[in-house]
Amino acid sequence: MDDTAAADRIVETIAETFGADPARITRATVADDVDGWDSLGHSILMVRLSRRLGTEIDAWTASESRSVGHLIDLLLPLYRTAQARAGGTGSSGMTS
Amino acid sequence: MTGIDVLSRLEAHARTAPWHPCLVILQDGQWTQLSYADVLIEVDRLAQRLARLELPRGSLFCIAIPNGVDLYLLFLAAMRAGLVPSFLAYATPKQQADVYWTGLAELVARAKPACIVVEPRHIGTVQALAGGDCLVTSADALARHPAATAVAAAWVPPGPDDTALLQHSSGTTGAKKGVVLTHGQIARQVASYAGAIRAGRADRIVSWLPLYHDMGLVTGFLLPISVGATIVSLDAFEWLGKPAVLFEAISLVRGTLAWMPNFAFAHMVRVCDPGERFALESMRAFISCSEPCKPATMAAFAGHFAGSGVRPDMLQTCYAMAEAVFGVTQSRLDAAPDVLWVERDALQRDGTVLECPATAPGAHALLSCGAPIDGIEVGIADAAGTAMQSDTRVGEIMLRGGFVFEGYDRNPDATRQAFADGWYRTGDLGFLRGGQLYVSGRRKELVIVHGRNFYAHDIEEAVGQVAGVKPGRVAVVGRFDPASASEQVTVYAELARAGDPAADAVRRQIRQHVFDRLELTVRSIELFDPGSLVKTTSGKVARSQTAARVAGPDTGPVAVAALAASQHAAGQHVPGGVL
Repeated sequence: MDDTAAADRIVETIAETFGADPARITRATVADDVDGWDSLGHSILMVRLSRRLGTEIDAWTASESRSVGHLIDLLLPLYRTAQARAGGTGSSGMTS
Repeated sequence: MTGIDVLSRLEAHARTAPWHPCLVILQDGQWTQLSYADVLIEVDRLAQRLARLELPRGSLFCIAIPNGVDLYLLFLAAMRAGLVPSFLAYATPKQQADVYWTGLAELVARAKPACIVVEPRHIGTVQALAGGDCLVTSADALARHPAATAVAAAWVPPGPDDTALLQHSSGTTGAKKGVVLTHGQIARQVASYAGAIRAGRADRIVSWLPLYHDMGLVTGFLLPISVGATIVSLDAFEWLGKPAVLFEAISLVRGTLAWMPNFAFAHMVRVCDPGERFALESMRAFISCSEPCKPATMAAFAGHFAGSGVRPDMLQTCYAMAEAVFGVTQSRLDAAPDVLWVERDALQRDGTVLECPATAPGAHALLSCGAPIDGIEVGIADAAGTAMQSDTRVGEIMLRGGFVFEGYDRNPDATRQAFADGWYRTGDLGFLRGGQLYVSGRRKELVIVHGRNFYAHDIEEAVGQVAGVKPGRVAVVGRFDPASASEQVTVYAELARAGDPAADAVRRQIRQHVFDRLELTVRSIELFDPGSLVKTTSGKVARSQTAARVAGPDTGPVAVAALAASQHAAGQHVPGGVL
């Protein structure tokens, strides 16, 4: 899975977690735009993303994200690192 | 000389079990452990430095730093140096800094601390707002400060009526009420509550609760130190980032006790895979407190973690508040709390408690919060404030006894409103049956989100400050959200201009501003054109009618509207906040 597909999957996970329309989640979206994206919602999102990316997500790093685009930029390197460690190609590493 | 206070208890444990683990802290992925002897030595060392500052004896010493060893040591050292410590929430990255600082400035102006300990990067900002009479410093700077000599040798244990600490309530930072607690009140609470749960040196209490919340302060700090137990402390933020860390810690240290609000039980179920296994069989109890305890949440937790050793009788309940230091009632630790099935309609209509089968239509489950602990009297009063003896009528829960506080700091109006004929009026609604307390609701204007209390009018005021919202045309209601097992806030507000194309931006600003003011994330926001909200005859927005008109009648938890409406309107309630 390339970066674009991985980013799409992150957006899907956000939409799924908060019951939002994926079409309304853009890189510019911030937590305040999404009903239910509070501290607990963020916690659930991070657990889900951590599982789907196959990597640990540091709580402090995750909290620094100011928008969906920023969150994607923070998570993609973690995903790539996890893929490299697992010896994968990055083509099918995500799990549901 | 031996006293009844927390420091005297610490000294006693350091003498009789010097190497027993006192403080085990997970910070930035690293564990730090201090024995009772270690803690006493470090507290004395720090107290000598505080003494050298020559702050007036009995003056307020505020601590606003993230979780860590310093947090605990500074608090105890302040007591040792004859100061009155108080934990404050620290500035988080998500908050808009200027709003947090403004609130802190208001609090400082009212509470007048002699010293505030903050993170080093905030010293300049806080010093500017606190003025020259208040010393603003950091834990590191204090540790490097020259020491006075022989503080421990000169130390005289405080008397029972001496002020021990100040606990700040919920509300906007500037409007927080300080609950003044004495050493005697704390000692009596700890003795009684520890007796109810049979807490002792063998206990390992695992907690992610912040210490500026009464539940964290007492169960995760004062109580374990007093009984010689081990504190296993996690940062609330790290728990949020990785909730399983709580169970990993319990598994690692063979934890025995943990307190959490109802939502946290549900959160653990949501984020942990059913297949994940932890070693939780060492636990004596997980105690639900700080927000309404739900039988369904307990059942889900017990079922989800049965494979990790959780049994239904481990899940217990407690009714507590800072105005009583902490615990008021506690369920028995050797059996699952009683569940009472009542007719929901009768309860909601006029506060009548009609028992019914669990399978009856409209049956509503109430979980017992247990019996009053020794040393406190729980009464139920009708709308006129007259004591009731009935176990079939809901009334306001009233408290009096040896560990009920005597007043708010520098706030005589709030203190006067809080008491009636020597009883503290909790504002919560419930009844006593078979010697056990059942809490059925509360006055409507209070919303509890994730264990934190918010007054609807505080939230409405914050929303009304946002540009684009018509001032005064805001209604806030709390709704129980089964998914998060907590109440969530819905805002109904009128736009200043009909059909405002910037409504999405207004919505975003409302969330940001409410968070900045109250550290509360609003769940949903409904914006309307001017003139849409329902008004009372006096011109105020009618919360429940507005919510019922636009979103249906189920606008909150089980509460007795008729009684609540006739209760006193001014607010007082459980201070503190969890997340």
